[in-house]
Amino acid sequence: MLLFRSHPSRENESVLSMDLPFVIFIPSDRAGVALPASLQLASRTAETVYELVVTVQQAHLDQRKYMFPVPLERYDTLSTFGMYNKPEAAEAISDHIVTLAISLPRSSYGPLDPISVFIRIVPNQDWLAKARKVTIQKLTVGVEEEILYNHEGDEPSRKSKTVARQSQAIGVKVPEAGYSTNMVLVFPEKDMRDSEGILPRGKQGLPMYSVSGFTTKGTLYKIDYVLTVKVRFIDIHYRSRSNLLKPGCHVWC
Amino acid sequence: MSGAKDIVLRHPVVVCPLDHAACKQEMEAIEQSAKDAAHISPDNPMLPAPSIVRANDPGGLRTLGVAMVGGHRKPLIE
Repeated sequence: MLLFRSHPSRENESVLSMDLPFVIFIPSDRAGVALPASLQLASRTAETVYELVVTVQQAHLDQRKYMFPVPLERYDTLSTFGMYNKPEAAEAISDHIVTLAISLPRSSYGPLDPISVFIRIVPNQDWLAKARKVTIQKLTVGVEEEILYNHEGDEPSRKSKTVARQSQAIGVKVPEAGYSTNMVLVFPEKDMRDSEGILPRGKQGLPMYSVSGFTTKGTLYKIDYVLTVKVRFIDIHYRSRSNLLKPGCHVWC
Repeated sequence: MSGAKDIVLRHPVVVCPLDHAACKQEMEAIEQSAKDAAHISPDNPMLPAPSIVRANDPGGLRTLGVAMVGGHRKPLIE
């Protein structure tokens, strides 16, 4: 965007002061150009920063560039938006014998937000004889962060890590009417203080976030999150046989 | 063996940099911003006019708070 040019008849003009208002329109998501928020990933594996660059060509001097950091934050994943602030449900089946169903009150979470997962384990009524022998040993809920680098390129690479996990020992046989429970997992907050407990001054161009990452998508990387619910079962026959072989050994511990 | 295999259910969730309380606080401002932005057109953003003071403009130095007194630049005292 050209803001000023000297009069065409002159090579340059002597100026005392200038005030040149301008507006730069950020490309809109609707136009298909979604600018990702400013973000620096842990150990700087990827970074998105924006700068306003002002180029000044003064008479015969070299062209000079002045950079100004412009942190960009997005407000498109707010947990208060209708599209995220509604209950969600999912289901998975193990060997046609039992079904795991979960429901969540909403689908967007921020730092220290509780993720309340309603879990229901129901036996298949057609396979009750088999289902009765199944004991729920342990329930685990977790959140995984998946960073996909170069997802639009030829060699994408995926990095997954568990950001939160919680287990609960159950030790209950699957009742005919099904087993229900609620587990609450708190989404972790990033501790912004350094090893000496001092809150460092924010880096220029990067907003202070109290999470280490969030759902985002750029051209070179994208970050997604997955809630995982794992049910570990033990079979009664297996348990009794194992106990027979190794007295005193609790295989379900 | 009639054992049921362990079940792992994976369900996508969204992570927002703001917690739920902060999201609630932002809602009003977002609504207002959207209303304000609706009036701005990229073709005609209705900007204030630029102001350029050239060296030979009469009273140009005045805008910098400087006056010429006896051939010397002196701070302007109103």
